Amino acid sequence: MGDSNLNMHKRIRRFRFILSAIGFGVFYWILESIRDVISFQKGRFIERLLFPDLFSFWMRIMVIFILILSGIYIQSVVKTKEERGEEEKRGSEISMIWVGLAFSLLYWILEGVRDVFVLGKGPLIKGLISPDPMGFWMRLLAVGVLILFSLYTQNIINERKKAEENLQKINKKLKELDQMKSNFISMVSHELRNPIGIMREGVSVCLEERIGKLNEMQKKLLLRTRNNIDRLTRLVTDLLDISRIEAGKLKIRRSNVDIATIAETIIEEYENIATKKGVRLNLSLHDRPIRIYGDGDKITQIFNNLLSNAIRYVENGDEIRIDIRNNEKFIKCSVSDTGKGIAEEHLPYIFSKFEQFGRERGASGYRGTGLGLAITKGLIEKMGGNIWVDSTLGKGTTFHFTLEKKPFPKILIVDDSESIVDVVSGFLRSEGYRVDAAYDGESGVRKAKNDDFSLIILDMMMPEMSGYEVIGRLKHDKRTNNIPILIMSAYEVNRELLNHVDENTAFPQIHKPIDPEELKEKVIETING
Amino acid sequence: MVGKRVLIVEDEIEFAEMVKLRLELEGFDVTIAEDAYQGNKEILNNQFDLIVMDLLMPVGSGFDLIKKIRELPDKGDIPIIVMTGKTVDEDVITKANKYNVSAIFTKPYDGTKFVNTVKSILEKQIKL
Repeated sequence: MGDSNLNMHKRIRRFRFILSAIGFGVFYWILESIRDVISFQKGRFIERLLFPDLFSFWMRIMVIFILILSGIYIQSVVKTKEERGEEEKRGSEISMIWVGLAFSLLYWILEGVRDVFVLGKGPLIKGLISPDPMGFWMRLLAVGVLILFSLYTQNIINERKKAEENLQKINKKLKELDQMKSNFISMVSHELRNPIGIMREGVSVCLEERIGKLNEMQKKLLLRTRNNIDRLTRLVTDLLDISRIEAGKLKIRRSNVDIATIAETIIEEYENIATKKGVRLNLSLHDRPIRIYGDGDKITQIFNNLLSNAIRYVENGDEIRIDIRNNEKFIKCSVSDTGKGIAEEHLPYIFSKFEQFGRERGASGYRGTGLGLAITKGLIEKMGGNIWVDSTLGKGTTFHFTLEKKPFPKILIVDDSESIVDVVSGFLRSEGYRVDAAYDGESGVRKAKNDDFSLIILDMMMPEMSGYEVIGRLKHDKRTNNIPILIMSAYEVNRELLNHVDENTAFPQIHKPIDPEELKEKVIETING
Repeated sequence: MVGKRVLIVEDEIEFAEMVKLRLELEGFDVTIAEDAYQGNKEILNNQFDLIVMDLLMPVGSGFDLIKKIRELPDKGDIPIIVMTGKTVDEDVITKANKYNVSAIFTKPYDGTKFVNTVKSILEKQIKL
């Protein structure tokens, strides 16, 4: 709500002393103009304000210059204090009233100095302590306005600060509540799995007639029971999914996947149920393979949710079609059906939780949980895409979604053996990764610093600079200390030494000779953290 | 498969009994241990052909016990099936791969599929 407002406020606070010095400067300029008119009868106010004589002009500039300089000085002192985190402590912030007083004193002294040295009005001590009545009242007026001004500013700052603190408090509380809710859902859902499991097994064993014959009515009732247990299971799974998505705990595990193959597999899986319902399934691929750096399981789940949704709203003779296009920056998919369609007034709520529209009664085995589309939306957005829907009642529904095409990560291989580098980089390239190589530690570290790598595969036994030294150097440089490292070595590495370098990193290892499948898994695991 | 010995380590006793029933219908000889401690004792004192392991239990997690089993010199290669109410995430998969777990089942499980998996694991074991 007040985010931009808060930022603005913060920015103002950061420069508050310089800003108030400028404010005082402007005020001083106006005051001088008034004084010129009243005490020295130097013509009209507006003239004095805009075109003062040279002497007065430089006088003012000098005073304003000193004001701003001291503003900058105070600011720098406060800033170093704030950087040390001292501002966090309540009340340690310097009040604007003190700033007003400080500027007043400064102004008073400057005036005194001017009276004495420029206007020749007697000794300095007199200029400072008891100036002539005119100068005295003039100064008092200026000081009064300065202090009033700073009181006013301080008041605004206080109110803003209070509002900001309140907002932070509320925000914190909301986050805690949300966390509690997610934990609760997660706990309850896990606890539910044991009783559901017991019920399902009990019913299944009976239903399979493993412990005695059943009559038709018993079979029917037990089957209905099991269908509803399965529905309960789906609900639990979906609840866990949505709570993880909402808590931001859902992790995307990217690797080299082919969306075309994923779609084909899914279509095959639904072939049976579609044939039973008399529904045709079609897949339009405009390109193949469509290799992207994405999460295959999550993409499967998206298609699964959309297809199981579509199949619920179609009847004998209808058609369901998946369409996939490979655009330059994103993949564009759609799942469309020629089924019942969704009423216009329901469309805005289609991705909300627990909304089910026009759901047929009966057949609990096919009924959804009301969470599928909310989960689907969450998954797609987590992968940098969008989902939207077109639907006409009686004609059918199309869900469109996009998936962002992330570039494949860049991997650096550091190994003195050219043949190993060739084998490993060849394999990684075939998996879509971009690869660079260094044949000694020194150039490996240099390359890592000057490029943007997502992973470094590192040999430990190298002449000159060893793997341990390379790790030490990488971990001690801001540009490279966050790059994950996969150790490639024929021998067990010295874990004690590695812990000494960085005790918070696990340093996964792959053993030579290298098994391509293991390399693939380890790379995916290490890059995705 | 008649006479093959299976150990179920599971704190939810009624759940364990359902798994036991399913396996006994296939002719297996089934023992239940109610926590990781009991499980450990059973494994040390008896010979089993397969272990079905829950992950979240009092007195030590399933993976702690699996790790212990894998470190045993004579019984380190017993096939293990994980049966859990926990969501199977990357963490579970990584650990399962690390400790060479044969299969993972999520509660509630499909009984027929479970029995088929147990049989095929034991058949492979015999061929080896």
